[in-house]
Amino acid sequence: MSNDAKPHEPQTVPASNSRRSAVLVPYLPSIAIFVVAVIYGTVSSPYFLNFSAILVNSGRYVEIGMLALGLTLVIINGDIDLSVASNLAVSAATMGLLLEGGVPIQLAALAALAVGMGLGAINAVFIVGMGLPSLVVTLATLALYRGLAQIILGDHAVTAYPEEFIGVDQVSLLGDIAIVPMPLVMLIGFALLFGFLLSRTNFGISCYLTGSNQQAAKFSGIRIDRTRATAFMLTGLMAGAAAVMMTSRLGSTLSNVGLGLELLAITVVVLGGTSIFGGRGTVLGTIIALFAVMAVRESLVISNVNGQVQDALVGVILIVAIVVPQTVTRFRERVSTKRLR
Amino acid sequence: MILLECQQVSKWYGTAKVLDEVDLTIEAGEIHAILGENGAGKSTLVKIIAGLVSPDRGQVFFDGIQSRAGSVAAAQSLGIALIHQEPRLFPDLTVMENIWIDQKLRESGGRRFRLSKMGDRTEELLSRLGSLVSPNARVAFLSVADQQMVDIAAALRRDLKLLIVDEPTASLTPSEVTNLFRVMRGLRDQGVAIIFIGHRLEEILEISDRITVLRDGKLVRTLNQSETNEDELIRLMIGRDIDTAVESASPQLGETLLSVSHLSDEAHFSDISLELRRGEILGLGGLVGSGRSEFLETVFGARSRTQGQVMLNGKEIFSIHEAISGGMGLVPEDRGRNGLILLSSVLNNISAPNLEITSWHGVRRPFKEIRNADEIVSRLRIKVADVRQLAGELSGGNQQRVSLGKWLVRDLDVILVDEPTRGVDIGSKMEIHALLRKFADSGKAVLMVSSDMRELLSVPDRILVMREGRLNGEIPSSGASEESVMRLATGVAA
Amino acid sequence: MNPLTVTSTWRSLGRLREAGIAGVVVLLIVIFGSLNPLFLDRDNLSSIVVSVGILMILAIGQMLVIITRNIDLSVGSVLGLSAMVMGMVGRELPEMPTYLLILIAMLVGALAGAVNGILVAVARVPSIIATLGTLAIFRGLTFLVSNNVQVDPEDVADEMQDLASSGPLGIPWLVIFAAIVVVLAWWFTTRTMSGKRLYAIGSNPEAAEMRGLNVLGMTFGVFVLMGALAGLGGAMYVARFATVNPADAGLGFELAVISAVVIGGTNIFGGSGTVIGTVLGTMLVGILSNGLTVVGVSGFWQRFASGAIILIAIIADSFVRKRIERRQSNQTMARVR
Repeated sequence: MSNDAKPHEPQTVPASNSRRSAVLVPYLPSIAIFVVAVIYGTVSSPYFLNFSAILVNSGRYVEIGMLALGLTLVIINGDIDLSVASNLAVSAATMGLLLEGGVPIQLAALAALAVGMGLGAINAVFIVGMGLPSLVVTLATLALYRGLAQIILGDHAVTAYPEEFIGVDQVSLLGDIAIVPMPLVMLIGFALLFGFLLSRTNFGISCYLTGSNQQAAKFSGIRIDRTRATAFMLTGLMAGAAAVMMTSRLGSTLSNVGLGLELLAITVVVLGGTSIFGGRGTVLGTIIALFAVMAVRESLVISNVNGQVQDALVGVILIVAIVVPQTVTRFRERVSTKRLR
Repeated sequence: MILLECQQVSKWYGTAKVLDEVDLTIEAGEIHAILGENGAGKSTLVKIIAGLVSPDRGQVFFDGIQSRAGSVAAAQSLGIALIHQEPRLFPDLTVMENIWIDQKLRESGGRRFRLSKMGDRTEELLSRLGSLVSPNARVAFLSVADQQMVDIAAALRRDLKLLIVDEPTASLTPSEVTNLFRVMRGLRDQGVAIIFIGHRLEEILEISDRITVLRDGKLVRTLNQSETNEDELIRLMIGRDIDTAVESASPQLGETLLSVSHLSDEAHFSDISLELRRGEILGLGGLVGSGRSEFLETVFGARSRTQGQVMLNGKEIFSIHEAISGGMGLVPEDRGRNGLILLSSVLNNISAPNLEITSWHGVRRPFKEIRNADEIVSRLRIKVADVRQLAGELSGGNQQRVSLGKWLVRDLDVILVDEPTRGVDIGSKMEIHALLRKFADSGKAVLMVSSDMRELLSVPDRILVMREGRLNGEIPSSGASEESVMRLATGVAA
Repeated sequence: MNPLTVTSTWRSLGRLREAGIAGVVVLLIVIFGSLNPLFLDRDNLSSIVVSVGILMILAIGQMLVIITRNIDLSVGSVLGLSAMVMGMVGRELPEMPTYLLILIAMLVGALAGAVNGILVAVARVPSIIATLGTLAIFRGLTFLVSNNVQVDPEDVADEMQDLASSGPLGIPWLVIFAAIVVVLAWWFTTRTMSGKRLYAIGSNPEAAEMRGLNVLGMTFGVFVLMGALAGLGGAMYVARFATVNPADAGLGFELAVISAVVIGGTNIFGGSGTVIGTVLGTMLVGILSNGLTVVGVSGFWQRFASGAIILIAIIADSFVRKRIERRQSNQTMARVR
C-alpha cells in the first residue's frame, strides 16, 4: 500500500543484471510449498491424490481465489481491501432476502453482484473520493458491512434455494467423461480475464504505475482515481460473485458466512509475489499461490489437523514466503559487491 | 592543516569503475567545492569521505587516522556531518527535539544531559547560526531554509570538523542563500572544513576557497577559486569548449496556442494571465516560493483553481486528461517524485501518457509502445541499454530526457517545463535547451519556469516575472539582464 | 504567521479534538442513561469500567506500535494465548500466587511480541503481514497448547477472579493496573527522550536510521511491550470471565483496539498520538459497546456501529487536517515577503 500507512519500500533501484531468472523468482515460494504439501499429503494418506475428490472439494478455494483475484488488483494499486469477506456476506444476505421475498433466483443472484460492486464503490468513495487511508477505511467497512449482513439476516438462515441453483460445485463441465468442476472452470475463466486486464490493457498498466508512484503516474496522464476506484469495484463484484457461488455450494445463507476469509485471500495474494507496497504482482502468481494454499490445507485436513492449527500453518507459510526471498536477495547483494574488486 | 586525505581511492559498482585513483586533500578551515557532471563520481566520493561506503582500493585518512566505513552515527562521532538537499528531519517533532533526539545520557565531556536545559542550549545553537527559529516550533511547519538551519544546528551540536553540503541552495531564495553562505563562512572561520557540492557555477565561485573538478571518476584538477573562472571550470568538467549560447532565432510567432486568464488558486498565486504563441519559448522567472510551480501545475490541470480560465487551442481545459488530449504536457520540477516512475521501466514511463494512442480500445499494443520508446531514445540520445531498463537506474541527465521525451511521442502543441535542467550535467543541459528550441521552432510553444538565471536569460524569447503569486512584469529577452529580472522578482526599486 | 504560532494553533486543535471526544463520551452516557436507567446501575458501570480497563491496556500498547509506523493485528491472539497458558498453569498449580500467574501471562505475551518484533525489526517483514501471519499462528498455538480443553471457572482461583471486582478503596485491581499502565505510558511519551525517539521513528524512518537511533532495537522493543501488555490483558481477561475458550478467546479484539487508538487521534501513518487521546478513544469504544447492549440494540448493530464510528473519526480528522494544510500554505506564501 504505497498510498498508505506503512514504511515505504526503500526507493533504491537494484542493478538489473539477471532479469531473466528474476522472472521466476516470485513464484518459487508458492511452487516449493505446493510440492512440499503434496508430498506430505501423499505420505500421510493414500487418498490424498484422489483427483476426483480434490476437484469436487475445490469449491471453497475457488471462492477464495475469486476474492484474491480482485485483491490482487487492489494491492498492486497500492491500496488494500480488508472488507471483501464482509462484502460477500452482505451480497449473500441480500440475495437470500430477495429470494425469500419471491424474487426469481436469477435476479437475486444478479442483485448479489450489484450489491457487491456497490459496496466496493462505497469503499472507493471514502478512499479515492475523500482520500482516506485504505487500511483504516476497509477495517471500518469490514465491521460495517459484517454488521449490515447481521442486521439484514439476524439469526435467520435462508435455506429456500431452488434445486437447480444448489450444488454448482458438483457440476462437471464434461459430465462423466472427466471431472472438471464448474467452479474451477469459472475460476480459470476469471483468472484469464484478470490476467488479460493486468498485462494487456491500459487499465492494467495504470494499476502498476499507480501503485508504484501515484503522484508521477497522475502527472503522466494516468487516471489514478479511475484506476483505483475500478479496482475496488471489481473486487466488490468478485465478492458478489463469490457470494453466489458460496451460497450455491452451501445451499444456505447465514450472516456469518465467509467470516475470516479476507485473511486467507490476502495471504494468497502476497504469497503469490504481489508486493504489499504496490507496483508489482501477477495473476499467475496469485493462482499458483492459491493452489499451494489448497494443497497445504487439504494435506492437513487429510492428516486430521484441526482448523485453527491449519490457519496457523498458513500463517507460517505466509511469513516464510516473505522472509526467505528477502534474505536471499540481501545475501546475494552482499556477495556480489564483495566479488568485484 | 590537512583534515582529510584520500589516497588513490578507487571504487567499482559492478563492472563500472566509478572512481579512478582519486587523490584529494581537504584542509581544516576551508570551503572546498566538488564539481562535476552527473556520473562523474561526486556522490560516491562524498559517501566515501563521509565514511558511509568503503573504497575498493586506496585509503582515506581523517584527522590522521585511517577511516573505516561505518554507519552515519560513526561518522557523526568523528565530527563529520552530511547535509542533504532535503533535510532529514522529523516533521512531527519540535525543533529542539529534532536537534537533541540522538543525544545520549552522558555527553562526550562526561556531563549528564539535562532535558530541562534542552531549550536554552537549542537557542544558543540557533543563534550561533543567526537563525530566529523557535525551538518549540513543529518542524513540519518550517520553511525549507529554516529546516536546513535546524539540520546544520543538529550537526553543530557535536564537535563538528567536516560539514558536507549537497546542493543546499536548490530550494532557497537568494536572501536565504546569502544567509546560508554567511553561516558557512562563519563555520569556516571557526576551523570547520566544508565540502560543497553544487551545479551553479556562480555560487561555487562565490563561496569556495578551492574547487576540485571530477570527470569520469578521475580527479581532473584542484584549483584555487581566485585562479579560475566559469569557462575554465566548464572546460575542465566536460573536457572541451562549449558554446553556451542557444540560438534564439527571432521566431516567427504564430497564433496563440495557450491562453490563461485571471487564473488563481487557493493559496499560491492569483490573477495570472498570459498568452503563449506558436514558435515561442516563454520564460517564467521569480523567487523560489513565488508560486510558479503551482501555477504550472494548475494550468496543466493537476491542481484545483479558484478562479480563471485556461484555453488550449481555443478550447477550455479543466483536467490533466483534457490538457493532454488537447495537446499539452508537463515536465515537473521534481522528477523523482512527479516526473518519473523510477521503479518502472523507461518503456512504461514513455508509454504512460500515450496509452490512448498506442492502444486499441483499451488493449495495449506492445509493438507500438516499444517502437515509440526506441524512437524517443534515439532522438534524444538517452543512454540506456534497453528500454526495459528501470528508469531509476539512469543518471540525472538521462532521466530528465525521459521525463521530457515521453511528451514527444504525440504531436503536442505546448510543453510546460519546470526547471528543465535541475540536477543535470552540463552536456545534457545544452542538449535539453537545444531540444526545447527545436520544439518551439517547429511550430509549437514552450512555457518554462527556471531559477537558473543563465538559463532564463539565454533560452526563452521573453520573460515574465512572478512575485509573491502575482505577475510583476515582462521583459523581452533582448532587454533582459540578471538585474532586471531580480528587480521584478523582489520588487526592489532601482 | 510564524511556525511557533502555527504550532500552538495545531496543539490547541488537538486539545479541542480530545475535548470533543470527551464530550461525545458524556453525551453517550447521558443518552444511554436516559434510554435505560439500568445503564447507570452500579453493576453495569463496574462492568463498563472493567472492559474498558482491559481494552485500555491493549490500546496503549497498540498506540505505541502505531506511533512507530507499524501495526499489530495479532493482539487478540496474543491475549488468548497468554490467557490460556496462565489459565492452564493456574489449573495445574492452584497454589501458585496470583501475582506470579500474572507475570507468567505477561511473559508469554512478551515472548509472542518478541516473535513479532524479530519479524518486523530484523527480518523486515512489513508489520501488517507479519502480524497477519502471527495472528493465525498464535491462535493455532492456543489450540495446541490447550489440547482443545477450555479453562473453566473452577480452574481459576478466587483470588484471581477477585481482581476484576474488588480492590483497594473499592476500585478493582484491574482498573488500578490499567491506570498504572496509562500513567507510565504518559510519562514515557511526554517526559522521556526514548519516548520521543519512538515518535521520530514513525515520523521519518530513514532519518531515524541516519541519525543513529536504534531503530531495530526500539521497534523490537515496542512489539515486546505490546505483547507484554496483551499478556497483562489476557490475565485480566481470565480474572473477568474466568473462562478461556481456545476457539474464541480474544477473537476480534484487534478491531476494538485499533478503533480506540484511531478514534483517539493517533495518526495511522505514525509519528503522532497522545495517551490522553487513546484513553478517551478507549472509553468511547467501551461505553458505546456496552451501552448499545444495555439499551437493547441487538448485538448485530454493534459491528455496524464500530465501523461507523471509525469512519466518522477519520473523516473528521481528514477534514481538519486539510484545513491546517491550507492555512500552512497561506503562511508559506506570506513568508516570501
